[in-house]
Amino acid sequence: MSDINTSKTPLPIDIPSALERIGGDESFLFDLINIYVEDFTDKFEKLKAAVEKGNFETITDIGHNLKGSSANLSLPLLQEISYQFEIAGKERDLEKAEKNLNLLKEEFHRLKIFLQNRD
Amino acid sequence: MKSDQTSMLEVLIAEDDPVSQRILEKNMKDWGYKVIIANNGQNAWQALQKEEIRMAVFDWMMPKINGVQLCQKVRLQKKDTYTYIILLTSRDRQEDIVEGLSSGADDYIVKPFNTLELKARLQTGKRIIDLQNQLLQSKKQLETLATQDSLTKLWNRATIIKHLGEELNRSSREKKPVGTILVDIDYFKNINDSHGHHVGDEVLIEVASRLRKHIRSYDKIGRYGGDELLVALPNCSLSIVKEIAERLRKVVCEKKIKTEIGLIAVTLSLGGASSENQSVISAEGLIKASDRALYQAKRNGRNCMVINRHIQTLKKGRK
Repeated sequence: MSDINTSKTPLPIDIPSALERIGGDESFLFDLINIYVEDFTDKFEKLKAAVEKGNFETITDIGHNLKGSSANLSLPLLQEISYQFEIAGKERDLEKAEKNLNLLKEEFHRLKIFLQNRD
Repeated sequence: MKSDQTSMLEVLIAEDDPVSQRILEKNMKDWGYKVIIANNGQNAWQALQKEEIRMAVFDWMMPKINGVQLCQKVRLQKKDTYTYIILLTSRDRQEDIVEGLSSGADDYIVKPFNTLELKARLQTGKRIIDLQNQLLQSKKQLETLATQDSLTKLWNRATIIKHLGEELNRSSREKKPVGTILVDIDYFKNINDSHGHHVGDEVLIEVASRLRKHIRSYDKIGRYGGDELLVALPNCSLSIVKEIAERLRKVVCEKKIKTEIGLIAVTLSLGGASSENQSVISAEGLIKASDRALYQAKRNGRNCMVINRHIQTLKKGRK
């Protein structure tokens, strides 16, 4: 997990904080992460399609939604990038949305690697 | 972690984010709530039509109908029971909170939420619901006290007369006749005088119970006076009044009544009438007609029923 991590980049998931929020049950946290991963994959495809079509309303909605679930699981960068989609959608800024699409994909990948290494 | 306080209170979760939905669901189940899930506002609205749902957690941002719109819809709906609503939102600006509460939410939680905070807020909601339940229960008790005869558990005099009036109104619109039967326990005074009021009460209760079981499901029966009972019979011609009156007479005289001093043979006198073929008739007029027939039944030697076929002509009754 040291390959991507730099001193400035936070871990993709703040496990202690997520655990505290949901009441300390670790296996439940991993159930939630699985739900998140599955949901993310679906939403990412929809987001990509929305960006291609320039469908700003969908970009805002999915951005908002992903921001919420990322926050619930203490995924700081995923939360922030999702928020950028919400803004891009509201501001009808397609360039910003396109740029964030890659960032989102990379950060999600980083989360997956982190979780795999943890196993 | 199960709380025995919640006694399976039904809570609706309206949330489209699967992670948040799962957190809410698991925790609420752990705390002893019965959880119903809706993925969007429209499904939530359908689920809310169920009277049992007393508490709801709405996400603000949802497809189709959002949480705020849902709050507004719930508050516009006329329901006896109150639905306590917690709005779940990642919006924490003051004006958002004001908007959320103004739409009809009782409380709000800012996402990402802490489960302990959620638990405490649900308990607040439960306190309000418990208070309303107590209030509804008191209301129901008062309604019963105001409309029921405490001894026989039949409708009291005012209520049976009111029901009869309502039935006459409805039936005149539908052009259908309404029947009445006035029932009197023969020699009831003698039962009271020889065995005491307690035995008289036992007899009255048993007669009331038998009659109630032998009227039609939509008929109504009340205690009209001391030992006089009044039956209101919707959609009832004279011939059916006669049939029912005879049935009621039989169910009482055919089997002795068990009391603390032993079995007592009880008979009834009954007077029936119907609004059939009457252009306009009031509840009072119909009761009077039954009363005249009852008087006639007593003159005929009791333990019988008389039907007043000619409301206008049978005038030689009492009073």
